[in-house]
Amino acid sequence: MNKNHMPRIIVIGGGATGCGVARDLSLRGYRVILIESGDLGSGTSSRFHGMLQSGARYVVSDTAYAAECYRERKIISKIIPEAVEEIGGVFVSLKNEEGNFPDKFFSCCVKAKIPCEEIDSEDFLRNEKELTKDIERVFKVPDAIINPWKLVNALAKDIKNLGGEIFTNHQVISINHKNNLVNSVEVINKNGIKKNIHCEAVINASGAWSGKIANLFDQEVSLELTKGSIMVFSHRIVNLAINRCRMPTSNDIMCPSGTVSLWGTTSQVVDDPNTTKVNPDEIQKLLDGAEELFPNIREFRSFRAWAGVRPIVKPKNHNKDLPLPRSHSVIDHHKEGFNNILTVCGGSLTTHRSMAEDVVNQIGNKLGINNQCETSEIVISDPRKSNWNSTSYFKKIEKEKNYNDLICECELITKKDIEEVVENEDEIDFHNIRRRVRVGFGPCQGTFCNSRLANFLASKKYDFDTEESILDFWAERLKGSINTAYGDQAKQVLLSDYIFQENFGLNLSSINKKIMKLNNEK
Amino acid sequence: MKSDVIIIGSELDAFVASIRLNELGFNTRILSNGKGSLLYSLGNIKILDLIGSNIKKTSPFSHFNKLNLNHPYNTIGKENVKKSIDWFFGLDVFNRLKFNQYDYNINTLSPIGLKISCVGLYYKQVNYDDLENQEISIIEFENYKDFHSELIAKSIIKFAKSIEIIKAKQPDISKNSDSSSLAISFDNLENPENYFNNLKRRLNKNSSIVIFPAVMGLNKYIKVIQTAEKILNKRCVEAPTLPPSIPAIRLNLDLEKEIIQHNSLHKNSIISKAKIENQKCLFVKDNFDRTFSANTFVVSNGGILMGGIKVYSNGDIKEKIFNPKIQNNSHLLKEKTSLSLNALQTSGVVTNKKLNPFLDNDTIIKNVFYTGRNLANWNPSTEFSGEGVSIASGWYSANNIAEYMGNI
Repeated sequence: MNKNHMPRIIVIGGGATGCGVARDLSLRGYRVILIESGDLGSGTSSRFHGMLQSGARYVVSDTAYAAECYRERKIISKIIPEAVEEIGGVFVSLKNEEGNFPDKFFSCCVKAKIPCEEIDSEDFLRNEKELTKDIERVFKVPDAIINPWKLVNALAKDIKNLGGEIFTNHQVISINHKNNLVNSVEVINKNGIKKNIHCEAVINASGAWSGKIANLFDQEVSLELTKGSIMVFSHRIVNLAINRCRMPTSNDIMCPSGTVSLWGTTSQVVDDPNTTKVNPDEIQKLLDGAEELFPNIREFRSFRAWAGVRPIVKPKNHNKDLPLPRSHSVIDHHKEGFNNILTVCGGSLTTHRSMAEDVVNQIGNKLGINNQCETSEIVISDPRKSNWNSTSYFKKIEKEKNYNDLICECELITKKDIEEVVENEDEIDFHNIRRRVRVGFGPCQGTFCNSRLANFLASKKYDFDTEESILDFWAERLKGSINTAYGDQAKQVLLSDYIFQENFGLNLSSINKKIMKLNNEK
Repeated sequence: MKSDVIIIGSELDAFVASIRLNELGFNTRILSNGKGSLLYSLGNIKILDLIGSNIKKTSPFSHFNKLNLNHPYNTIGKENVKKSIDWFFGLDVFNRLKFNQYDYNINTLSPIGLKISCVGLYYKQVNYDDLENQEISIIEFENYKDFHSELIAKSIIKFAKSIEIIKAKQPDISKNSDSSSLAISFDNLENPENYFNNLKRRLNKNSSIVIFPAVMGLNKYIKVIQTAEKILNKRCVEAPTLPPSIPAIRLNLDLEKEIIQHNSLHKNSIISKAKIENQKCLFVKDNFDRTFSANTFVVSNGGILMGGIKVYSNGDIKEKIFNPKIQNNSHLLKEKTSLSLNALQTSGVVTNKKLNPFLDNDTIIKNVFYTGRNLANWNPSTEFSGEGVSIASGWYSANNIAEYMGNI
């Protein structure tokens, strides 16, 4: 297939969906340009509880969507095993809960063909010591966890290998059209340099930002944006993903991930997709909810809380009394007079691949190209890399005994890990490095690895402003860790402050501005 | 178990109170868990330097009128603060450590190479202003990751004449490469002349200053540095590392040595309870349920940073031993991160002018005194005042105890 004859398509949005769409297009031979305003995966894709859903969560409320989740979850695990840890999950009901939801749950799992097995609650509690003894019924399901950074980075690598181009830190400022056809997209990078990129079609895959993009060509996408906040607890306080067995609502998932556990979420309707500030009352609500399952949760160290914004599509004429559907929609702007732009929205990270397949099929129909989708068959993962496993790191470090090479002692990140990342980066940005290798993600939240990282990069002759970079890194960590500054984390926050201000001599007044920028405050 | 004064904690304020009380004729018993925040410092003494302030600093005291009325410095009084700092630098400990004559306008390097101000330099601590126009050699040890030689070089290259970074082998390669192991292996170096002779061959002949990481020995560092200067025939100085820093450990050890001459020092005692009657504390109990009684008590256990004061998940803040009134600035409720951090720093125990804590019914405990990071209404990080408030409040509480004991 000669690529030069294929249409050039611009994908807007570099989250899981956008990367999935760009990969699908690339595999089908299109010429692809992916545009992301920040870093890949830095929006909603990385701001969730990290679960690769078995679908069971939605099995009662939306059985068809649940079945789709299960189908997709199996595919992701097959094509990108390095991003997936197969831990399994359970749905638990409590003794004092009324109604017959657990029975309904089980029969719906059977209907949706999601493997589900009721297990003995006493046996189960022997392995999950922190859970309340008030658990009545336990259903085992094939939930898994996914590392969103590994996912988007694997997708991005594949897009580049297939000849696609990716522009990060480029914001779309206008979408230009003539005779009902979009013909170019104008972008601006963070240095203020503008560029006009020609194309034959556009796919808007910018999730919570879809409405903002649609506004650029005077269109609206009807979305309900809800902010969900997540708390991170030190250690894996559970072995499996623990879900409340009830209608999906707030406060019902505890998910172990890497060296930590994530509890969530809340749900609050917001206007702006950039609203990522966690409010104090949300922390108390999260703790109250977690206490129902984990009686001692307030004694555990939580070192961070963050929020992400979910884009849920509001169908026209939707009955207000029913929950909004979780499945995705492809919006064709044809009726509004644009023949070659589609918006794909809704769904979830688990179903990002089928969202991509759907929208790429539809763009193919418009362009008269019917190449088949191959994303469910072609494995992306580097065959040398095995499944993601939180403990494999420990084994590797202990075997090689390279303790002196550790930059980050919480997450066991070595100089070599950092080197591999920076080799593939166009410019040095501490945030990108942090996201690629989880440096500073652990309990100390970058207190000790921040300056070590700077020193290591300086030794490799990379150019950056020491003060700015260390402050940037600290500001980003502090903005999440101050939310849970109680217990041991209060001590940790003050220790970081001691080291960065009293010892290093960094100036807090500029950190204000940085944090405000990170929070999108004015 | 009875002594004149019981001091709870092992902060700098605890040591200062103990030494000052000895001078005033009292002996003390220090009950601590052995961990003080001094160990996270660089071993510098910072009195006050409001970061970002426009006032030209002529001395730390020129910033005093910028402080809020409830700041511990204002409680103690400017004259008392000055007296306590003068007294502190006159201690024998500092003759042994060879602290320079203290000076208000000294600048040193931070671990990432920034200029930071402090009062006094310890022996051979790098002086920022001496580096201008010099040819400098920076020594780093292979596998030692807590010394940021590259960041320091990057920062001082702006005004130094030349800089080279020399990778050296640590004295004992069978040992770990952390700060403490390195310092101990310099203490144990059998033939320091040989070690520095090997190093000499690799240095730029023209360099005038050699910067070592501040790990050049624990008890014998003065001798080690002097040997280095003799052999290399250049000025040798130490630049700080990431904490725990060896200069702070040296200062801590020397203060402890001073203290155990006249007082008893427990390092495994966590005080959890107190018996209070008629506005007086009769005794305290530790985690082994041992009872300690005394006439007066000083609480110097490091505030929220060191766990002397606890923050609970619902936002409550408590000091569990005496349960005094707490200035709780509700940091978890603040909208902006920086305000929240400042609120956390400035929360603490509310005291009267003598540093006696208020209880919730607004009565005081007459024979209990709070010091250092336990006190509310100051922010050591933005004020650069951590050691200064510790010294002043430790000294001042000792004076108040002497006055109290004279009155009963």
